[in-house]
Amino acid sequence: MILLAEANAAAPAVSDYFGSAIVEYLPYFLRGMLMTINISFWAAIVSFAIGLVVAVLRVTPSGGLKVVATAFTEFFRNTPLYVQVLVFYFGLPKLGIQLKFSFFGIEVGDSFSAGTLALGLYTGAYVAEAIRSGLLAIPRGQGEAARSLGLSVLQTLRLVVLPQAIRLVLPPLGNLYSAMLKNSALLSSIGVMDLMFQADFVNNRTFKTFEVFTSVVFFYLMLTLPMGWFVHWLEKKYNPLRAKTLRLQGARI
Amino acid sequence: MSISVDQPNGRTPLIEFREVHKHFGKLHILRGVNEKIMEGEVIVILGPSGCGKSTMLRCINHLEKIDGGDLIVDGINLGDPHANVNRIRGETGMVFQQFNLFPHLSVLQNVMLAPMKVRGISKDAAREKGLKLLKRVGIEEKADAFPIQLSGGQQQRVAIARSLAMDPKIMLFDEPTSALDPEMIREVLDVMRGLAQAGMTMAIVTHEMAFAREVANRVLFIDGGKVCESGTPAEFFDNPKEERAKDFLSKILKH
Ligand SMILES: Nc1ncnc2c1ncn2[C@@H]1O[C@H](COP(=O)(O)OP(=O)(O)OP(=O)(O)O)[C@@H](O)[C@H]1O
Ligand SMILES: [Mg+2]
Repeated sequence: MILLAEANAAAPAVSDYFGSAIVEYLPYFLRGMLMTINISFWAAIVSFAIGLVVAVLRVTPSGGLKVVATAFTEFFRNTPLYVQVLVFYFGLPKLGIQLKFSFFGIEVGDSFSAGTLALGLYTGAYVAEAIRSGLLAIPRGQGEAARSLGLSVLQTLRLVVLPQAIRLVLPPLGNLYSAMLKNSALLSSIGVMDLMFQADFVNNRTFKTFEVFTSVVFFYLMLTLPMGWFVHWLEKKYNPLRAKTLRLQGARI
Repeated sequence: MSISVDQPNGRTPLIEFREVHKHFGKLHILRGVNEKIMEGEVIVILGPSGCGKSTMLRCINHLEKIDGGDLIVDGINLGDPHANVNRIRGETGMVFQQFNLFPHLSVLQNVMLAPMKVRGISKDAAREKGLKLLKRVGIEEKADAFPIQLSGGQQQRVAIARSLAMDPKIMLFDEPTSALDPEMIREVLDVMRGLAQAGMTMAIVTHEMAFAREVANRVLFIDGGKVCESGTPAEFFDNPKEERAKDFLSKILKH
């Protein structure tokens, strides 16, 4: 009898877990997820663009720009992301750089653009290193063959060397973008209303700390896992012959 | 026509080396090379390892920059810093020991790439041309395969087709069969022989002496950074004049 009574007492707690706090605040979490996707999307674009340029500059023989590119990677890789986010958010306005603007009629706030830029540049430094290692792994003869056919330096990069280098480093790039998505949670600290921000908000309202943050884990997984699958799919799509190619090239060199 | 000097037969050479020098750091590799290659000639370049055979070919399509003298390719002086180098590269097809096919592109795409991107011809025209060239090197059934799915000999034939797609005025071959298994050497040499018979101007670095003797109009023997001896295959192989050439031949013909 006593055992049964205890079991009954536990039951409402479980239904309460799923029932009230999370379900009631689900729209907040969903809005947060959308924002997390939004920041990650823009940061991914920034980081890929900057990563490509920096990687290419770092492998060119010429001096000046190479130094700048190296300084960029070293700076962003050797300081904490959190500090960079704060510097961009508080520092840039002090330098007179205004990051508030309107994009397709949507007001983009300081925190969003500063945060996305910081996250994009930070990730970009790692992306640059990944792509650089890919570039260095492409046999010299590839560029020479392209050049000897009359392709310009830029065409050689764009059509021959970079496509191979990027295919080669898809797995590490996948890891970097998964890390970037998780790192985006830091932007909640400057007021970006992402998943983490909404979780804090719901927690402050409901005090159901454990429930809130375990669900947040789940929501993040719903973002990172599909992204991992997507990268895996890309690898399969573009690289069915990759392992074989490398083995043979290695054997011949 | 502006650079005709003393042509034996009145024609302008397609390629002319005038006192060409090339250093790699302290290494002085080409030490005043003088040579003319006329249209339609098939030249085989021989010489001991490290004498600069590859360097000579690579200078012609400007993969290496010469640092002394003049190198005139199809009327353009590569010694001139303002020379239009990309144009020259399109005119001089290069076939490498390692094939260097683009592994991310199919066989046909390998052949179509440069005509489309450099010459600006349409995709359909490039495809048609590509298929025709693949047929010429006997490999059209592999058009949609990827390089990795081909044997070495097949890859090298695709590489030749890829160069031909630019309608080059001269084809440069740097040891095209040295990375191949013996049974595949023949198929590549057959394609090259066909090119020679069709009148293609060719400069070939090779260790295939029987092939050299058969196909070459002229053999150049390089040593000490210069063209040490030049003559017909019969003259060179049967009756070399230079001591160093005799020495070289005795070594390679022993086995
Ligand atoms: N990029 C380079 N940097 C430094 N040295 C080089 C470079 N390329 C070639 N060399 C050197 O120049 C010399 C001539 O090289 P090259 O490749 O032209 O010789 P080769 O006659 O083709 O020899 P092989 O028969 O071995 O292919 C060699 O001693 C080589 O080590
Ligand atoms: Mg060589």
